[in-house]
Amino acid sequence: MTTNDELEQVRERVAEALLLLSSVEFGDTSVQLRVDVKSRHPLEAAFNSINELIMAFAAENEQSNAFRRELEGHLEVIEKQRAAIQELSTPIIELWEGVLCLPVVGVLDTVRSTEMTGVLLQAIVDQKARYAIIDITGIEVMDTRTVDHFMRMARAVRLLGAECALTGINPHIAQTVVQMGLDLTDIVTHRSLRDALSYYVSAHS
Amino acid sequence: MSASETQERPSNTDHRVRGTVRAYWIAQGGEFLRHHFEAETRTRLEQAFSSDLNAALTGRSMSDWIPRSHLVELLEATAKARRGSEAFTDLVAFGEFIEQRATNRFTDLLTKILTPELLLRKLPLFWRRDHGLPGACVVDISAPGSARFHLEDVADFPHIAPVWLGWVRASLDAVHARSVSVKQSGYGATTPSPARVEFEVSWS
Repeated sequence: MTTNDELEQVRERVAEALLLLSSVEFGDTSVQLRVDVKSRHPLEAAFNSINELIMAFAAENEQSNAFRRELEGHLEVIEKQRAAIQELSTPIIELWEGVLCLPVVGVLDTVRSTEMTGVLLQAIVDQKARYAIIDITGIEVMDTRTVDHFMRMARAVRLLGAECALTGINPHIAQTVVQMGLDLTDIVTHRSLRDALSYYVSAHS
Repeated sequence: MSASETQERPSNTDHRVRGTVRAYWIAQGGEFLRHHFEAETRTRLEQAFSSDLNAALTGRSMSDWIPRSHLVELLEATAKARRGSEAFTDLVAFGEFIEQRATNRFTDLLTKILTPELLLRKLPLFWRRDHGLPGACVVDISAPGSARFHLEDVADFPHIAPVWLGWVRASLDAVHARSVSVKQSGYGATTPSPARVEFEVSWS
């Protein structure tokens, strides 16, 4: 075999290798180079190494895909839980005909307040409610921002032609409201949910 | 638009079409339509796509094997776009576009070491890499300056002849062949899916 023939043969084998590697780069790791095990040509050893690299890459790829699938599974669960929590954190209860109650538990931030207002207003429209009671027995902290959220909620309810009352203010929160000079005069308050309901029933009977 | 036109188009995957093709042929084929035709034609073609094809055009890994029927749908859309002799030109351009766009660093390296003769000898490997079975590209003669090859068992792969012609021509251009001429026999407006298509290539 002449040197030119040998050179052509090497070129041909390298072309095959590059063609195969182009498939690998496109993402196909199922391919392998043809290797002549009897040959002692240095290219064959190189091709063997390339095959091993492709196999290792395929294994890594598979593992990475498995991790991604697992992560996607976790994210799906988290998303479902988030939706469930959101639903549970904004329960609207119909206490009486035309009377809705929104019990607020935990901390009220802007995002949660916006979601709650949206859900409450939609419930008022859907159920043709006349009276909305926001019960804050379970609220942890009351500051100026929280008060502002309630004031906005009450104003929005009034715009729909319904009344809004705030109930469940505990002594600690009452003290905080006074000490901080927060203004709750725009919103009707009752000591308890029961008082608010009694007030509505007697006023409308 | 009539009510019937606004309905979700049913899947019209042609189950007579056997075989698979690499997903990048579909992705780049969709890109070709957007790139090659005027907005009005392009919109008309895209609105007629089946739901299966629309799904195949997005969210696939480049190397996935997907039903060849999706590519056939794209090719038929291309062939119908302007009809007549322009249809052949458009299909050739489709093949050239795929060759130029479906590249990566290894195909770039490949073009640096391939000679036109070697490229033509390796056509069967390129075919297998992109199209699989059924169908094959068989090289009959590859000599300096000329070659003959054929596609066989491609009766259910309509319009592949002009597309493959364009692909081969663009590949030869990429390896710096000059005065390239690629002619085919077997395919025509009345015979869009012959079982065998002969090609003759010459260059200097």
